[in-house]
Amino acid sequence: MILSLHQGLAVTMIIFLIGVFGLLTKKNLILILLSIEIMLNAAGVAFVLVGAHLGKADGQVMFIFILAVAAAEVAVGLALILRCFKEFKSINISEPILRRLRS
Amino acid sequence: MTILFYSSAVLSIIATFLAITRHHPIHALLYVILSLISLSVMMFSIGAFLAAALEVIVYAGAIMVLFVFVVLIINPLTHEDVKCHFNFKKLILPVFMMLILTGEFVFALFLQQPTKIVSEFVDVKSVSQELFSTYAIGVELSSMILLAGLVGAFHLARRSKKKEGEIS
Amino acid sequence: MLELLWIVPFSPLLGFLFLVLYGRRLPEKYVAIIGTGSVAISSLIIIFLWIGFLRIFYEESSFSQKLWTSFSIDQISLSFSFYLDALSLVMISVVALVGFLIHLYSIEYMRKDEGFSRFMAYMNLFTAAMLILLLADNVFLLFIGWEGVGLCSYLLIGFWYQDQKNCDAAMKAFFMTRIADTAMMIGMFFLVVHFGTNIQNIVVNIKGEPTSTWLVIASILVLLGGLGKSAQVPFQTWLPDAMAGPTPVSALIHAATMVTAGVYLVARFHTLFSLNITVQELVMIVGLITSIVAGLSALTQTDIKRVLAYSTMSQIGYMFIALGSGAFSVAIFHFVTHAFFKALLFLCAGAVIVSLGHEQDMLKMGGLRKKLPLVFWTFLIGACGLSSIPLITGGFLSKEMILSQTYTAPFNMSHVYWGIGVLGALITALYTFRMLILVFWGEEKGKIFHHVSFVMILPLLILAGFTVGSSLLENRVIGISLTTFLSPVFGALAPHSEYSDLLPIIISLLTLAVVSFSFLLFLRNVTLLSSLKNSGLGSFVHKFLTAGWGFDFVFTSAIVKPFLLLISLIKKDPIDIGCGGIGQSILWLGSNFRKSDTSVLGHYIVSLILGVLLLLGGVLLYIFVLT
Repeated sequence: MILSLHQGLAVTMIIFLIGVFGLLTKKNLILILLSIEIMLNAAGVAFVLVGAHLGKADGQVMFIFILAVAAAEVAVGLALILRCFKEFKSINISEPILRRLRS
Repeated sequence: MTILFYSSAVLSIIATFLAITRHHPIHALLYVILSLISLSVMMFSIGAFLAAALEVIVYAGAIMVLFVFVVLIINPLTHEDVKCHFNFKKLILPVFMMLILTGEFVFALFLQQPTKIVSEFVDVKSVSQELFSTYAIGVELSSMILLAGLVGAFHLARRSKKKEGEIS
Repeated sequence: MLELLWIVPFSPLLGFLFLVLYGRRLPEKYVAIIGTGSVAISSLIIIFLWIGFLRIFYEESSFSQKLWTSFSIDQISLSFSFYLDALSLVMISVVALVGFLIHLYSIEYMRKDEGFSRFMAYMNLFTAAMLILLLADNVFLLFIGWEGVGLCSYLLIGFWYQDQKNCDAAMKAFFMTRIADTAMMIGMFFLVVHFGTNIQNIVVNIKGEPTSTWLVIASILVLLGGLGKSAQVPFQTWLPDAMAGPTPVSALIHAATMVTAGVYLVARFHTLFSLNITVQELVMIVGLITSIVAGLSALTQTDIKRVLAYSTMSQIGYMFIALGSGAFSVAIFHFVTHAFFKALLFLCAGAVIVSLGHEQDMLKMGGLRKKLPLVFWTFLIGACGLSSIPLITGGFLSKEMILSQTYTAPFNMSHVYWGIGVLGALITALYTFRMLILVFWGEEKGKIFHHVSFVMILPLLILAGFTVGSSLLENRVIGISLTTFLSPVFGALAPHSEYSDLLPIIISLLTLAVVSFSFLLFLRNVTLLSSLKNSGLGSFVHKFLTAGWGFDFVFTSAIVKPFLLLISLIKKDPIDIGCGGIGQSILWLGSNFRKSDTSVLGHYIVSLILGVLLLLGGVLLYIFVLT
């Protein structure tokens, strides 16, 4: 079987879709953030694959940038989760207090 | 080379799937780390060495570790009871949306003709040359983003001076 | 001497301005002096104008004085220029003289009213506007005068504005004349486009035009305008209701002067109307119809002023008959005599009304012959003028001339028209003497509250004198002839050789017979009358005639009610609702969109993914369509 770009992109696609599913389904705030990270990672890997296919360095460069952004975002997101835990004593979004984030 | 590619790909898919089906956060995190590492192997197999290395070092090594630390601090499982039964009704909408998304992705994928995956290996030197010449501004911006993230995280998570006896 | 012409309209205008600005602060005496004095000055100047005019009469027949020009573009201009020829001189003399006498009368009549200065101001403005109308040599200036008299008519009918009825009558008059004025304007604009704005220019140049359709249309439109102001069919229903105003107003405006503006209009543009024989016949037919309709309606009225209003309508119908038969100077002669006796009749009626304490219903009057002798005799003279009793007054001469000119008019049915005219004259005699008998004969029903003072009696006497004296205006013995005086304007009267001298004698005898018959009917056989009235057919006819032949009813149901219906449909202002609807719909849209802000985190995540789906789908669709 010849290795084709389609197959590689299909892999990243599947991982991305799994991440979306996790985002939609999970109730734990940390796990939602984790799903977002999965999605980001999948996107980055897709960039790398295409860059390798084209033989240019741009794909990996893009991946580095995505990585940096993901790192910053995770830091802030986790800080927010810590705050949220301090205030509401729970990080389950189906609980009433977190359900109505207005208060 | 191809076997390596396929096996690591399959492994990462299985690992990610398992990750989201666990409800214990630590289990999920560990599975995600596994997935990341196998993706890194996949990238090694097609010659994207810097990317693969950085994935392990930064993503799996820093970001996931950060997650683990936060989970350890919060200890969420002690605050919720273990629910094992699936609520199928609540899954209809996500599954439906997923299917549509899958369809769209597949459609997008097959808009192009199948091509060989690798033309040539891109080595670290060329990537770093590219990074610091063409994309130098991106480097500056991402450093600013990281600074913002640092400041934000620091400010959000520090112990407030009014409350005492709280775990910060 | 003729250069003083400009004072004639401007003196009352100045009087108006002064009274309107300062009248409230002045004591009554000064208001009266200024109000009446301004018209007296005009009359005085007119005497000088006569002297000057008669001097130049044999060389040239007109005098024009140009004051200033407001604007002038090619042929179209608004220039304040006055034109004095025999026609306008005769008419302004009558207007100024009768106006002065009525102003004098109304000093006493309106003295106690708290709006006295307002009244005098309006009367002055009216006189000024009427004089401007008569003297105008420019179409736009004529308009100014025309609209001015219409405005003053409105102001004066609704003088006692506290009563809604008066305001309604004033508005009715205004609306009706407005509709007619629109027709007149369009007709005038036709003429202006072709001949320019100078009236004499138009009048002279029309003679050279071959008969074309647009000229006929223009003449009909101008005629309609005249019909509105002169209260002829079909614009006549406002005049009886206009009697809601004070009696001096009815005397001046709705008897002697304003309602004759239509006659003046047709007379001034006589070349336009003598072009087409069909138009002439139309004018005559309108006059005939109005005189019969109004005459019959006057037979059954109970309000003394309404009888006189219908009588005015009928007499102006006679003027239009004269205009239609081509005898324009005879129409003016009838105008002169009519102005005198109609004003006299109205002022006498006013005296009677005031003496009885504002009682206008004739059925409540009676037997005032002994109580108000002076009023009775002057009223009798006026009634003789109206019914054209031979040899006493000038009314006989003018009506006889009209009838003879109708007989010899160049129409197919002119004999029939003459017959109808004679019938109208007899009906006039009938209702006039009915009025006289009901008021002054019979048993006394009303109580005299106070007798009228000399200031009110004097104009009556003067007018009675003029009514008798107007018979001298066409006297071959002395050598005065009004129609010959007017011949430079209208041309000489057509000779009526086929009209035998026997016919006027027969008509006079018939008139006297009708007069004695009326005495018999209304004085002796009152029971016969009431039984006639109460019978089935009789009561219907009585109601029909009292309502003025149902014109009001037709107008209300055909025009007023549909109009009000249309207005009620758009009462809620649908366009505004439509415009507001845009805002309303946006607000509705916004409030519905706001519902997506549920503050539930799960919902937000779902909508995020949904957005991704849609976006991706859109992009893919785009690419798919492109390839």
